[in-house]
Amino acid sequence: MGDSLFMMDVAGLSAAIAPCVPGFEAFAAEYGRRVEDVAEAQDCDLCVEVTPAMIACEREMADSQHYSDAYLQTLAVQRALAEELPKHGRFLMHAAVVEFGGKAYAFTAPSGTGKSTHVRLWCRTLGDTARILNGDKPFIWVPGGEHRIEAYGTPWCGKEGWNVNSHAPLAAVCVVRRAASNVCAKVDAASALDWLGPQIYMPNNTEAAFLALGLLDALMRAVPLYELSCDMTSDAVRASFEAMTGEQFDSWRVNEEGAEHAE
Amino acid sequence: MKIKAGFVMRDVAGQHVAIATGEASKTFHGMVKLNETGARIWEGIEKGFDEAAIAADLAATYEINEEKASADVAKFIEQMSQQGLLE
Repeated sequence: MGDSLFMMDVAGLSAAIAPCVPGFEAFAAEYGRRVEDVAEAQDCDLCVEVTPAMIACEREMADSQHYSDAYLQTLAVQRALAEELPKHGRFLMHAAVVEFGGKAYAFTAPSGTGKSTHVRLWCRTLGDTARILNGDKPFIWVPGGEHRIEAYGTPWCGKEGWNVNSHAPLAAVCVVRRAASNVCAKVDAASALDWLGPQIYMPNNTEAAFLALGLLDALMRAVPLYELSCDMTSDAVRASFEAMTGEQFDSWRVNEEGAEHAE
Repeated sequence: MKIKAGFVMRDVAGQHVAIATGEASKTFHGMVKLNETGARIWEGIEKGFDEAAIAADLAATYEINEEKASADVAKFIEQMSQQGLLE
């Protein structure tokens, strides 16, 4: 190991990853390729050399002691990238991102709230017009100025494995809450900070964290923010879809999906 | 009086937000939101001012009397200390 590199697309940047156990290439296959010539890594934007210590560190932080080295290695690479990304105008957000009409809609919530279930319902009720860009850990690029903020698919995508190596302009961010009825309303940035802040990866490095807060600020000023109270039926999609896209749900829905159990 | 190493304050969405990074993040989780006065006091501590200087700055900036400013500063610093933000 260590004699070959994996060159990877990371939210429009090039990253050279040097794994220390097998498995990374298969994990991120859609996002890059193996190179034998180390010189190819010369001009890349990001470099991650995974060490056994990084894997041990992930094992210590993990909720279970039984994860494989290969899985922990993927977490180590994610962390190393997320630490560096703010220096390149990007950050990691904990969210499920669905693409519709060429735009990205991010649903965020603490784990277990049902954001995966909600984006799955988008796909079931809207058919091929919607697709999931990333199910868990998309990267967000805030280019600055008047440029659009973009959401990028990544291979870190949650247990469902939903991810596409693609990107789309981020049209809205929505927090998901379980409720007995379905309501989706715009919220102001001040009240959104409490739920959105904790879903952003805050680097351990002080300078990078300062930059990440600045990117969050830019995102919250530029992108409309919503709060969705919902159950697990297609009415939940009606509420979020109509509020965020401005389209009529009945004009786009392709089937009469009923209630679905949460995972 | 010093703010613990690793704390970062920045304006996010019109609010003053402080978070812990590095070593400090192991004992302090989440985000502190500060009001206008709190942020001003925080910045004063960062600049190395003592309590009296911060109170004087507050009194001048917000046109409040020095007595009230001193009380506000003392109270805020006490809260910061209780939350483990100072060293």
